[in-house]
Amino acid sequence: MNSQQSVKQPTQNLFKGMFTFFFFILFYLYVWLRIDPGLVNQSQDTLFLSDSAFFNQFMQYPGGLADYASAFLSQFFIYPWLGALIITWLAGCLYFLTSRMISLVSDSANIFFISFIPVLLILVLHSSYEHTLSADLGLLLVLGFFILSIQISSQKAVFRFIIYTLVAGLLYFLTAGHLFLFALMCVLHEFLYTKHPLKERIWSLLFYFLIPVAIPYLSVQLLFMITLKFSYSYALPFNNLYKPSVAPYLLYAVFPLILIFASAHWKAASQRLQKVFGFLNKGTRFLKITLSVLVQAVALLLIVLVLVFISFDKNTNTLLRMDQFSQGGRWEDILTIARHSPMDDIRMAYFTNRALYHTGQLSSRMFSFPQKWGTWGLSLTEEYNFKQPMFKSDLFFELGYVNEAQHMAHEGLSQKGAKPRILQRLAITNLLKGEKSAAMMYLSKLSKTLFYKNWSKNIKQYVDNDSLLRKNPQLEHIHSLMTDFDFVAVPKRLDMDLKNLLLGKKNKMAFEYLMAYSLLEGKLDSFIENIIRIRDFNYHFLPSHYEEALLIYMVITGKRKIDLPGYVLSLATVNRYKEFEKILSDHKGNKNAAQKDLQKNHGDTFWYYLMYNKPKTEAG
Amino acid sequence: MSMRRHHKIFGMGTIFIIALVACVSFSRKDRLPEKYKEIGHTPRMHPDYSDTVIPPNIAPLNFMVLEPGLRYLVSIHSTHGKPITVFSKNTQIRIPLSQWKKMLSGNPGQPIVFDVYVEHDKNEWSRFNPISIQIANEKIDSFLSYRLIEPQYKYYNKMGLYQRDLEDFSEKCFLNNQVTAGNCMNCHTFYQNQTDKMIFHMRGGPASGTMLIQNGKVQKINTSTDFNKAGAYASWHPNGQLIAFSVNKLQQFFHAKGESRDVLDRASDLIIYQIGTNTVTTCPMISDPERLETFPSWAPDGKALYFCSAPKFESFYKEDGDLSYKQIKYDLMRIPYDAQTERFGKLETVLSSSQTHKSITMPRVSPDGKYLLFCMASYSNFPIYIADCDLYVMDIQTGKVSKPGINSDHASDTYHSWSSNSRWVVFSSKRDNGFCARPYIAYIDKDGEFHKPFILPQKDPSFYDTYLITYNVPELTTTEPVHTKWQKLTRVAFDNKKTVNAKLDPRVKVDRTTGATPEEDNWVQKPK
Repeated sequence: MNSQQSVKQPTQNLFKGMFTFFFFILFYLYVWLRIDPGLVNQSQDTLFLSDSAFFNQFMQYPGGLADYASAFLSQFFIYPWLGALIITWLAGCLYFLTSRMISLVSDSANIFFISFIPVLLILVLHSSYEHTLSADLGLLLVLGFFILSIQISSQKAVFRFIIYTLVAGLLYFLTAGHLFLFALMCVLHEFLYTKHPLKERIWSLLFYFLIPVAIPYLSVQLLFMITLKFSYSYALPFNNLYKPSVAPYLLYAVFPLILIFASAHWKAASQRLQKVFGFLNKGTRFLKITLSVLVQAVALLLIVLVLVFISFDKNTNTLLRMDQFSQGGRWEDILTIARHSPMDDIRMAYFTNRALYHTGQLSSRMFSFPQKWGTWGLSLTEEYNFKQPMFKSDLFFELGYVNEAQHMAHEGLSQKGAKPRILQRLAITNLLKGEKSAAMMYLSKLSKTLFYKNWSKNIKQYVDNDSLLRKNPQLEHIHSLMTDFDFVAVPKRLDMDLKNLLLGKKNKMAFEYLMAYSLLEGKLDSFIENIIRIRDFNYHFLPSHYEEALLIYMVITGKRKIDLPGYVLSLATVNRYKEFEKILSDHKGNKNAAQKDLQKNHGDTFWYYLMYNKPKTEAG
Repeated sequence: MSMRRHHKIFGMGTIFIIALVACVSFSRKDRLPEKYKEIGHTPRMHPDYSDTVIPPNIAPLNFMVLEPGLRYLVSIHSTHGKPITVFSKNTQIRIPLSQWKKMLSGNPGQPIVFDVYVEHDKNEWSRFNPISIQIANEKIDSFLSYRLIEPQYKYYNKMGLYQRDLEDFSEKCFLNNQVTAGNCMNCHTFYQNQTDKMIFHMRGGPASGTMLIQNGKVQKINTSTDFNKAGAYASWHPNGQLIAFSVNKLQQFFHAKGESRDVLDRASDLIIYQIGTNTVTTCPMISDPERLETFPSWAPDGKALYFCSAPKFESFYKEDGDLSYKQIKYDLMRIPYDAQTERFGKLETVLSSSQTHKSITMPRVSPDGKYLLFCMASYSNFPIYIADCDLYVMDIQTGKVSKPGINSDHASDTYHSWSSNSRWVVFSSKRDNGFCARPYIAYIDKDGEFHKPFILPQKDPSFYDTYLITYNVPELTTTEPVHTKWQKLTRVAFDNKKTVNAKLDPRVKVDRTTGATPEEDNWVQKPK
C-alpha cells in the first residue's frame, strides 16, 4: 500500500484543525498572561468617548476610522482576559484570511504553516506596548479587499478598474498607508495569476500604480490638512520600536512573498524541491499524518519559541508593572520586582524610592537599591516632563504638591492627548483646589466613557459637597498637605520645593524626600540643616541612613555628639562604621582595593554610596 | 385589474401619504400646550443668553434648559414674522438655522422672546417667565479667527488657526501646525478686520517666520535684525504699510498655589516694520533700555501709537535676590507719529499704574476712534493667567476710565477685538471654568454702554462642558474668510530661500545689551 494512501486526508485535516485550535489557545494564553493587555492599557491608556465630537476628530485624516475602531476595541484592554481575546480574534481573522488567500492562489494543501507566519509576526508586534490595533485592522481590510479583487479578476477590465478605484479610495480613507500593500498585491496577482491580454496588463500596471500614488496626493490637495509624508505613510507601523525591528517589514512583506512563491513561475522550483524532500510526504505511524505536516508543526512551534524569546520586551513590561502597582498601592510588589529584576533604568529607581517611602523604608533601606542617578532617581530628570509626565504628576500628588501634579498632567494632556489617567488627575487636582467648574469639565468628559463613568459619578458627588470630600481619607490627606501660601516652583531643585512644602505643614513624605535628596546629593550641610525637622514626625528612633549621615558628619567635623534631643546614635551603627573604617584601613586607605570587601558588608550604607556611587554631576 | 382601479389605488395612496405627512407636520408636539401652569420665574438656561443684545446676523443661540422635565418646548417670537417652535425630548434646544436667520433679519432692533414650556408629567406642562433678548440694529463682522490649543504649560503639541463663521456654526482650520513641522503659530493680526491682508507668526523649526498675506500673495518675513529678535504682538498702521511689533523675551514660571502658570518679559521693545522698504526701525522712546515696552496698538487715524511700558525687569529684584514680580506693573503710553515724515512726537503717559495700582495691558482703540479698551490686572503683562484681570474702557475724548459690566468677578477677562463698526467686542474669558478661555461677544451702544456679553454659540449647547481646548486671540474679520490655501502657506513657509530678511534702519545704533541708542535729532519731531 502507498504510504501516502495510508495517511487519510480526514486524519490529516483533523490534525491540522486541532493544531490550529491549540495554537490559538496558546496564543491567547501568551497574550493574556505574558504580554498582558492590562499593561498595554497602562501604556496606551486609550480614551474612547461615545459622542459625535470624538468621532469627528477621526474623520480629519486618512486612517482615522481605523484609529477610531482601534480606540473602541482597545478600551476593553482594561480587562486583560478580554483584551487578549480581542487580539487573538484579530489574529484568528488574519490566519483565516491568509489561508483563504492562499487557497485562492495555490492548490498546495500541504503547506499549511504559511498561514501562521503573519499571526506570529502580529504576536511579535503586540509584544511592543506601543503597538495599536490600527495596523492589525488595516491588514485585515487589505486582505479582505484583496480576496474580493481576486473574485472579480475574471470580470471585464473596465469593471475591475472601477471597483479597484472605489476600493482603493475606501481603503485609503479607512487605513491610509495600507493602500500600498493592497496595490502591490493586486499588481502581483495581475501579473502572476491572470491570463489577461498584454495590453490589458499594461493598463492594469498603470492603473494599479497610479491610483495609490494619486489618491494620497489628491487627498492632501482637496480633503485633508496633512503633510504628504503623513498622507502616504500613516497607519503603517514602521515608526514604533519593535523587537526585532524588522518585524513590521517582514509582516508586510509576507503577503507579496506568498503571492510570488505560490505562483506558477515557482511551481517548477517547488516540484524540484518536492523531489528532494519527497520523503516528507511519507506517512508517520504515530498520528497518521505526513512527515511534512509534522515537520511543519514542530518547526512552527520552534519558531514561536524563538520569536517570543526575542520579542518579549521585558524592560517595558517590568516598568509598566511597577507603574500599575504604584497606582494600586502595591508597594511591596514593586520592591519585589526591584529586588529580583533589577534594571539599569532611572524609572526603576524612581518607583523603588516611592515604594520605599510608602513602606516606611526610604530612610533605612534606600541604599540597598541602586541609586546611581542621585537625586534624579527621586523625581526623574526633566526630559520625563514630556516623555512620561504622569510619573512626575503621581509623585507630586503624593507630596501634596497639587499645582505641580496638575502642571504635569497638563503637560501630559498636551503631549499625549486626553487619556483617562490624565483626566482623572485633572479632575481631582481641580477639585482639591476648589476649582469645581474645571473639575466638572474633566468629569463630564469621563462620564462619556464606558469604564470611567462610574468613577466620574462617584467623584461628582464631591463637587457639590465639600464635607463629603473631607470624609474621603486619601483626598483629605492630600488636601491637608497642600501649601497655604504661594511660592514659585524651582524646576531643577526639588529640595527647594520640598522645603517650601514643609513650611507650616507636617508633610512626612516631603521631609523624607528632602532628607533623601540631601543624602543622594552627598551634601551633609543640607542634611544637618534639615534633620531637626524629624521632631515633627513620630520617629521613635533614628533611621539607619540618618544615623550613617550623622556619624560621618561627626567624623568630618570632629563633633563628639549630635544636637538632636530625644535621639541617640545606635551602637549597631557605630560598630558598623568601625568595621567600615577597618576594612578601608586594611587596604591602606586604597578605595579601589577596598571596594569589593566594603560592598560585601556595607554596600547598603550611605558611606558606601558617598564613596563609590554618588554621581559626579550636580543635581539639576 | 382595470386602469381605472389602478388610478383609484394610486390616488388613495397619494392622499394617504399627504395626510400622513400633514399629521406629522402638524402633530401635537409642535403645537403649544393649551393648558399649562405658570412658573413665576425664568428657566435656568445654559449658556445664559438672557438679557443680552445680539447681532442680527448671529448663529442660532442653541441652549439647554436646566430644569427637570420629560419634554421641552420653546416658542421663539419677535415683533415681525412667524414664531419658531422647537420641541425637544431632552434639555437641548436646537433652533433651526433658516428660521432663525429669517427671524433675526426681519427684526433688527426688536426684542426676541423665548417662552419655555416643560412637561413634568404626561400632558402636564408648565411655562416659565419669558426670556428676553434684544436684537441690535448693527451686524457683527461675519467671521471670528482664533487659535485653538490645549491649555499650554511648557510644552506644546497640536494647535491651529481657525476661522468660525458667526452666522452659522461652520468652523474651518486655515492652518494647523501638523503641516508646519509642529511649530508654534499665533499672533494672527488682520489689517482693519480684513482677511486679504494679514500676518501671523510661526516659531520653531524650519518654517519659522512672519507670514505676510497681501491680496493673495504670501511672503515669509524674517523680522529679526541685529537689533531685535523676531516680532511678536503686532498692530497694523491704517495706511497698511507699517506694522508695529513688540519684541519680547519671555520668562515662564509656575506657582504652587492658585493658577499655576505665569509669564513675564525679561526684556521687550517695540519696532516698526515698513513693508515697502522691508525695513525695521525704532526709536529710543519705544525701545528704551531702561523700560519694557510692549502691546503696540495704532490709533485708527494712524497719528498715534499706544503701548504699554514698565521699568526694566532687573529693577524688580529685591536685595535678597528674589524677584518682586508682583510689583511689575505697566503704564499706558501714547506717542504721536507722522507717517509722512516717519517721525515720532513726544511720549506721554495716558494712564499710570501708580494711579490705578494695577498693570495696564492690551490697549486697543475702537475703529471709530472713540474708545480705548484695555486690560488691567494686579500685576504682569500676561493677563490671561491673572484671575483678577478685567477689561476697562477709556473715553478717548474725555479721558474717563470706567469698568464695564461685562467682566466676571472671579476669572480673567482679557484679549479683545473690536468689530469694524465699533459696535461689538469679542474678548477671551475664563469665567466658565477658570481655566479654558472662551470667546464672549458684547454689544456697545452709541452711548458707549456695554451690554451683557454672551458666549460664542455652538450647535451643541453642551459643547463647552467637555471641550478641553482653549480659544486664543479671538479676532473679528469682516465679510470673507481667509482665502489663502494652506498648501500655499506651507510652501512659502518652508521655502527659506525666498524668505525676506528685514533690514535694520541704519539710523538705529545697534547695542545688543542695552537696545537702540539712536541720535536724538533723527527721532524727535521738532515742536512747531
